Amino acid sequence: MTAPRIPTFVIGGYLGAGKTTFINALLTGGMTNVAVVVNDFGDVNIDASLIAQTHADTIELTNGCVCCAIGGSLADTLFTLLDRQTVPSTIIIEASGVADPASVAAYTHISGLSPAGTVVFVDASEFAENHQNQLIRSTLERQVRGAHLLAFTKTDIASAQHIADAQTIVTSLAPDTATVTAPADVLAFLVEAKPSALIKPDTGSHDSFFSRTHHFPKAPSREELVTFLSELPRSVVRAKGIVELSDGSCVLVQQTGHHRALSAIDATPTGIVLISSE
Amino acid sequence: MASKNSTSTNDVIYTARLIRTANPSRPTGSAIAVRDGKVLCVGTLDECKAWGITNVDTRFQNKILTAGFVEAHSHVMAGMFHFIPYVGWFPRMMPNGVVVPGVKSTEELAERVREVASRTPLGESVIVAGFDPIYLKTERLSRHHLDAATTEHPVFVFHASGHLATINSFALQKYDIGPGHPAPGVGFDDSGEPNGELREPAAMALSKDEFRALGRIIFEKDTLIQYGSSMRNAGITTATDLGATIHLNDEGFNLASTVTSSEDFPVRVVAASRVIGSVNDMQDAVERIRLAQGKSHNKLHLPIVKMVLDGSIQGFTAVIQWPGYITGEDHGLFLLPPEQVVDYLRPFHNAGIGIHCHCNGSTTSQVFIDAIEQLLRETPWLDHRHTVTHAQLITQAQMRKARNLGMCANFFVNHVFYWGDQHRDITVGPDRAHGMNPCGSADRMGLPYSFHTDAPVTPPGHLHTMWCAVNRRTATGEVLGENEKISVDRAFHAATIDAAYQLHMDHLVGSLEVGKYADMTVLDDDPYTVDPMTIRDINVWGTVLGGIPYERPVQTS
Repeated sequence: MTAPRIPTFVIGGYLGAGKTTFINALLTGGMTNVAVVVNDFGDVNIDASLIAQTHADTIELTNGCVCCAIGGSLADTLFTLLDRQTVPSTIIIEASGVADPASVAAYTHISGLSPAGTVVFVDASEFAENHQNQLIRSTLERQVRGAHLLAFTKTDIASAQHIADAQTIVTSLAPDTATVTAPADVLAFLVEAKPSALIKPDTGSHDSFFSRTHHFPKAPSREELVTFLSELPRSVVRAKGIVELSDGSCVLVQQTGHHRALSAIDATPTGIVLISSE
Repeated sequence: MASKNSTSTNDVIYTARLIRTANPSRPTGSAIAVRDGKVLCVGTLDECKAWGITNVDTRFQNKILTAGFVEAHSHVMAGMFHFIPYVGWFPRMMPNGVVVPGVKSTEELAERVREVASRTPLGESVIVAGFDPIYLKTERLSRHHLDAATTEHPVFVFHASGHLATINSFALQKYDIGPGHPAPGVGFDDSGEPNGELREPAAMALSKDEFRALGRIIFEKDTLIQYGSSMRNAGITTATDLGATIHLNDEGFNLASTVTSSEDFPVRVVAASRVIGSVNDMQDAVERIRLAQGKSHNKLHLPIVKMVLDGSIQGFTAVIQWPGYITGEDHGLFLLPPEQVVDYLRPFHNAGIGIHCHCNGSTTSQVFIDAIEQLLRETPWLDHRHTVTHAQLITQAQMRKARNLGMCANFFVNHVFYWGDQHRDITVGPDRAHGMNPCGSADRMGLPYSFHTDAPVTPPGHLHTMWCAVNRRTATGEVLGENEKISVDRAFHAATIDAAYQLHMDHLVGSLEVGKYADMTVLDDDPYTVDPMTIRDINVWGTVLGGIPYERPVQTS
């Protein structure tokens, strides 16, 4: 009983709330040795170059991550993960879009796992309207109440009114639960792996993580960008964004702890979002 | 009359006290001729002999032969009681034909556990299943009762509901479950010590080795063999494994195909995969089902798939319409997002694969029926026979609409007996409880229906479902739903040809009609003429499958 227990998170939220998008980013965004348990591979879209091996119900990535589909039961999937020769350092369970994440989180107590918290995604553009739908209202409410951290998504496309309405409902359902708006903030929680902070959210304090966006005053060269990233204080747990370089090309920056990836991308520059734990 | 006298040695005529064919054109007979495993003729002995057969087998001379019973919703897991001692309230027949008496108190349970432990090596798990405390008047089961049975084995008592297990102190220590254990579902007594209760599978999984052992049994070859035996004992000749999880991969399909094709295996299996959870992409599932259909044989069929939309009424996880449950907290749980249901179903509908959808609640019945309506607007299919299975709280309007759309219902009518009192008093209240599993209404409005046992949830056997549908008695003897009673004749058809119809199997099984499989249930008495309150007590001799008799082992203890 003394073997280290694997911190295990649950990701919940209704259909379209952004769980899979988040998991896709997570699997390819620099974390290593993470196991993700999903209901099905249907929407998980992993770049072929990152796939080391594919089996009927697991996909192993070259970065050491593994993605498992729940075949028989969630308990069996977790037991099988624990039986692997190299156990993952973190497990993330994606609850289905209609699941009560609290009942899924109940599985994180099994021998070998350590409950690390439940993150529920809330689609800011749809939540208030969905909440009017009697068919799914109780499902949504149960999901929000089951969260240790609520992450609003699609705030970029939602109207101000939609966001305000969603926040009002969510606050009335779970007044003491921390909320964030950037997926990167959720990642920061997982990277930091501060399970206790999630399990016992400190009294209403929503600012244990800060994010800011850094814009370069003038397009940096690749070398200047790398220097900038290398010199970030240790408290910055995550850096992500699209930066235009001095030669006119754009790169996607993804840095987590010591892992850094710069990849060419054809997209509009966003600046770099920096997540800091202090 | 010209006859084809090219008889083979396998040709046989069985005579009987009476044959009930479930073929309305020729409902009864006294002899049946079988050639190549198929019905050659049903009628009088002379009519059968017109085919030139001289091999007359009179072993059923004093028996009733009926069209073989068709079970449209059970699970291979029903074979588990061959491996895991049964400790339920009601006496129950095991796959080997032995009837195990019911457990009527926690002390009796402890005695059974002690007996199992006495032949289990020290330290190894003792697992028993089917414990049903809702009927017990004695003290609630706790670890202390089990400690009285053994302190040297982990004990795991799996309750009949499937939602609860009770373990002993040895097991609590083994898994480090002490006061203040944070897992939801761990039960504590007044002094804060764990009482041994583990509620819901997540908590049961804390008792890891025992929980895994239980899970493994479901997928073992021997479980399928014992499932076949259980069905034969109950007189079932076609059994649906509704929610199979193994048939859509090579290993699982080959296992099922090999086991069922053995001449010793006494039942035809309809393998209805619960596709969600076993296959990721629904179109992929369609292709796999088509491949499997191409490789299946006369004792393994894959005409339908299974979907699940909600939980159970007694677990308060069925999704039900206003005004909801009468007591208890509504935990109504969709297993698929309601607006996505139609997308999950579409590939199967479009491929001509029947869909049986688990809907216990009225909300989920509505979602399913609406989804089928949309699919029919998109892609007409006049003969789909999509089926609401369980359909326990289906409303009158839903039934009319389902009928209009060409759908079927498969009622869990055994609930009237096993949990009817609880539904009246605790879950949905008296009004809706009387209308649960509304066979009478379905009959009046012409909605095709069958009933099922959901074995192992209730014991397999259509004499019991017929008894429930005809008498509507609860476990305490009350009539629940006088106006939903149906005739024995309608009940017999629901248990045979109408079940085959909703499985797309009525051209092969479900009635004794020329050219169909010679599948029969062999009974000691005639359900049509016995006191209706004794239908469930009629002795089942066994079955005839494809003309071959399969006798139930005679009880030896």
